[in-house]
Amino acid sequence: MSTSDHCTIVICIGNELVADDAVGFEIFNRLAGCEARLEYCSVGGIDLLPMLEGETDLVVVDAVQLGALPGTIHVLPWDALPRDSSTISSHGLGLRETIEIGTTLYPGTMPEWITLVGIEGRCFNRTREFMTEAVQAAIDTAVTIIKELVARGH
Amino acid sequence: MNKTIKIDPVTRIEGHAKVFINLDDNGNLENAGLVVNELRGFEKILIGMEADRMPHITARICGVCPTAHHIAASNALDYAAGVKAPPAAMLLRELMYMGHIIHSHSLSIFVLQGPDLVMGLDADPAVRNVVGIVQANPELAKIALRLRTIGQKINEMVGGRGTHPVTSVAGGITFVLDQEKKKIIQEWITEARSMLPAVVPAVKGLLLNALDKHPAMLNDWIAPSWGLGTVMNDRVSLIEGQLRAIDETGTTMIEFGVEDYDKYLVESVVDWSYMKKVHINLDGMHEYRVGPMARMNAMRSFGTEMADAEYGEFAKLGGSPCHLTVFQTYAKLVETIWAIERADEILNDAAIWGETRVPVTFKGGRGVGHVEAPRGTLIHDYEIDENGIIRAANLIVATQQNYAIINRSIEQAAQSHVIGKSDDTALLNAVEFSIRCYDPCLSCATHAVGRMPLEIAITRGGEPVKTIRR
Repeated sequence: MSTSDHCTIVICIGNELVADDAVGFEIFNRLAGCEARLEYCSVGGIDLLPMLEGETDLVVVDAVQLGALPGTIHVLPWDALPRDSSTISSHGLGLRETIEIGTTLYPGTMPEWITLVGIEGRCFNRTREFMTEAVQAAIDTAVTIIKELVARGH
Repeated sequence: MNKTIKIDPVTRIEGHAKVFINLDDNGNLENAGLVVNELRGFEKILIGMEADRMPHITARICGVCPTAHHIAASNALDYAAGVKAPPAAMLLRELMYMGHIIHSHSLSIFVLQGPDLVMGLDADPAVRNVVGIVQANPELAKIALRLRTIGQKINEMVGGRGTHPVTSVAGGITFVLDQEKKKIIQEWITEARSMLPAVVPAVKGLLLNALDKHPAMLNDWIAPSWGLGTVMNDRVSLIEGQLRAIDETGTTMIEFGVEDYDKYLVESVVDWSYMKKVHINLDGMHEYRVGPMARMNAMRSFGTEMADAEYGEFAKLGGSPCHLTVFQTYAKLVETIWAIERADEILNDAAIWGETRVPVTFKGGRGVGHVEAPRGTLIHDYEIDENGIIRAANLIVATQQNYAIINRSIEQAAQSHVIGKSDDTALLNAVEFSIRCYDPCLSCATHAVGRMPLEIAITRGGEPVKTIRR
């Protein structure tokens, strides 16, 4: 696809009151002016589906726990997304599973390209003031990466 | 023999859900339980804030049940200010809340419990998941997700925002209903009603089919316990009313206003989790259940035609009171029917057009309020000074109250699947299933993308035997 006919939705996920989980919210607040439709939700999963309106590109921004050092910024294409649904709570439907459901039920509104920008976090059980320093420090870099992703398209 | 398992905070923040099963030297079960990765410190951050911000700020505790916190906080502030929100405000708060219930229960029935019902407990987890159901049954999936969306739209219109509602305030609600909004909400409710003839038999059919395949669910997966629910005007109620505690036989043991909760509900610390568990203290300590099935056990009437008829079917199959763990799903279905009918009643109640706010001032004192959250009773308790500032806060959430029963279910699963057996898959399935029936709030703190497997640690005589991971 050429860069001229892509349109992007950026969805930032995370609880703004919870230490490293708030990173998605902080990034959302710094993306103003980005050439994309911006959405925020506090928990991901199936809530994402009604937000998708046929954009070609989807960028999901969220805190992740993939075993890297805190503050590491992962830029993962669809093929590299982990399967991560929780088996014991309905809150825990993973991004990959959500998109698979959407592709089956609403193929017309599903994006062609999906990228997860994940910021590795460490502290998820304390309040906002306990955000890990390295995570805080990664916010500006992540914003730059997302803006470049949006501008470049696929 | 050494039985206390210490789980240090470093291992807890990895985002794993952990279950421990401790056996004694002879291999007999000593205890078992779920380790909850609880968000700490939330009550402390409320201290020093203006009381009137509570409905707004506490709604952000949880992305899954924001409306429950939003309304519980509003009720607590009404109490603190010594006012009663006008009838129209209570109806509009309840209308918002019914949207929330429709939305939450649809997800829980469909995403969480659907796979067990459709694929069966013994199915390979690679198949037994929500993607599998959607692919096998896309039309039902679309209806279920549409129902969820309708609930969210009602919640969003009355609450002002979807993710974190903002309209309910001390003394009433800022939402203003007009004929145009009424027409839109009515269309959503009518659409939701039209889905019931497809959804109800489908979900029931899946449940009955699962019971046929797994008779143990009817015969062994029983957890008799006390229950707690809210009642008003001789029917189940969600955002106002008296708390009613019943014993295992369904006999009412006591009814009390939420302002007396600390006389009867006792929190205690456990050494393996930050979460405090709660007992009913009435001539001894009693474990109890909250949530849809507890509400139905406490007050066996909804006051609407379809929900009451469906409750009759529920009681025929599951008993009254019902203690079948798997019937939590059916209870959610009955409440979903009721929420649609009740939303319709509220919208067409002439009282909804009345005054929606009264002025409030905080002269200092205590504010206590509650709601029945989708997963069970949620209590907010604040100390407010004469300048309207929060000086202390205590929140009791549903998962704390269900904790003892969840752990008992895990012990049952461990008894039947661990002692003398070595089938790890069956153990994982049984333990996961018993936790799933309560849909505990775990991921407020741990939703971050990444593996969140269930991990079961088994010890014998204090020594680790093995750890099983999904």
